[in-house]
Amino acid sequence: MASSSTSVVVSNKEKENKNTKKVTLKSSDGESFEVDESVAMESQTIKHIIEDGCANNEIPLPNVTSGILSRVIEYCKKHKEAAGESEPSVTSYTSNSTTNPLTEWDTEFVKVDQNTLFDLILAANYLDIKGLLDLTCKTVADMMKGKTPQEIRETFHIKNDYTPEEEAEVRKENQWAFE
Amino acid sequence: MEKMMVLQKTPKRQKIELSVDAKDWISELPESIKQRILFFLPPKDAARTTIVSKMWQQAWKSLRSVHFDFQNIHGSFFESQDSEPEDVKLEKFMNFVDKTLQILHEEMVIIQKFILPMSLTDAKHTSYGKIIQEIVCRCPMLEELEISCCSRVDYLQLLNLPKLKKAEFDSCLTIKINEAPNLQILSGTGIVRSLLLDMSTSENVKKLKIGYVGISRHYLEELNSRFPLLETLQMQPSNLPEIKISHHRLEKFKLFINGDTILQIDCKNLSSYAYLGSHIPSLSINSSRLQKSQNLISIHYPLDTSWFLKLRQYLGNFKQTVVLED
Repeated sequence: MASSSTSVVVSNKEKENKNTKKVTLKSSDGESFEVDESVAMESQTIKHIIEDGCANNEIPLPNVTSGILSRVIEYCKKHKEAAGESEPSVTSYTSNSTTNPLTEWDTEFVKVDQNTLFDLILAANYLDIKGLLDLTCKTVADMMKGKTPQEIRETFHIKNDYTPEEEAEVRKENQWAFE
Repeated sequence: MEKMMVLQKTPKRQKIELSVDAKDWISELPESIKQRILFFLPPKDAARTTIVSKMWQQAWKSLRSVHFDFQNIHGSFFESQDSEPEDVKLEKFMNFVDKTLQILHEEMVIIQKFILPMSLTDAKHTSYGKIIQEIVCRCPMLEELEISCCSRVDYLQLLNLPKLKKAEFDSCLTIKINEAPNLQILSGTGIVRSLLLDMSTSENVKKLKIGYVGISRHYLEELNSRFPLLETLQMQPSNLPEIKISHHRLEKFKLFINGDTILQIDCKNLSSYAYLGSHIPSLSINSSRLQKSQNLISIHYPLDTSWFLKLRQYLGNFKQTVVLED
């Protein structure tokens, strides 16, 4: 992957390259990132800004830091490339790795510390990137799967605000889950 | 300046720094995101989070009441401007539904209420019933089912829905439901030719509403044995000159009928009776608990004495005074 060239070719498949318009995204800490418009439009939020004609110079993203934004852009680029090969699917995630060629890449992508994961979730939510939101949420879910409630609390540092009586009552309500 | 690789950022950036270890960031996520996380968990795991903390119980509770209403999505598939033929649009919509449900099935998400609008007019109807069956098959924990479609689904078979409580069908010709022992409310309105339930399904039904269906006498004769727990019955039979309802538990009965009929009701628990029809039925009713009755009879002119006599005889069945309205 070319790392120092200043001109960017997002997709090697030339068929969709009639549009090499660029946009500049500005993170909360003042860094600017220039990306292909089509990549940026993976974010529905950015898409609406562009379509509404409000993206003159830069699109400020006050809720996203540069570290997270760079990762998000990486995600969008990768997924845009892959989408260029096949018909855009309605759901950009599946749990079936044979249909999603990016599963391995995605898995590596989310191997980050909890803080970063948290930031990615919020960024994906704010930028409205469904695939990324689902990927990150699924990652969190996978971290919870199979754990006892106490283990979940420990993993995520959640405070138990139930009294023993309250807890017993809730257990009873969903008895089937605890059998 | 462009970043093509992820750079390791130094912690000097201006950000409210979360102390890496001790912060419970996950509970502070917006509820919709918490729900999305729960969405990806198998049902047992998701339910277990209810005792993690009160916030998570809240998220779970509101998740469970999420129901699948494909109405909005349906619109976006069919109202698009392109000139694709109807069945191609249907195919795409169905693929979308199928894909969504497949994912949910693999993730074992619980769908409580399922609303699938099918208001397609001239699309081919050959496999609607099958499509619906496929979809419903993938929802083993389904609790409520409502199908309102054009009268093109001729045969619909639903099996093994242990949690199904409520099922409503509009204009499906033949409906067969087996192994849904928790079914309490069943409604088949519009043109329904036959409603077939096996014993395990019908024995818990409390409320039954049957539309313009060709009910046979035989079916009614078996009412008591087929639907022992029935409390409410509403019927709109198409052609039944003689209607005999005998049930030990029925509390509410409502009948819509066009045409002359002989009505015999033997339900000792009946407390509410309603009749809407074009003719005055010959009624013999045996129910000591009857408290409320409602009659709406359309009047055909000319009215003659025999009509009034009939009316008087009919009204004699009801103890309290009845107000006659035009």
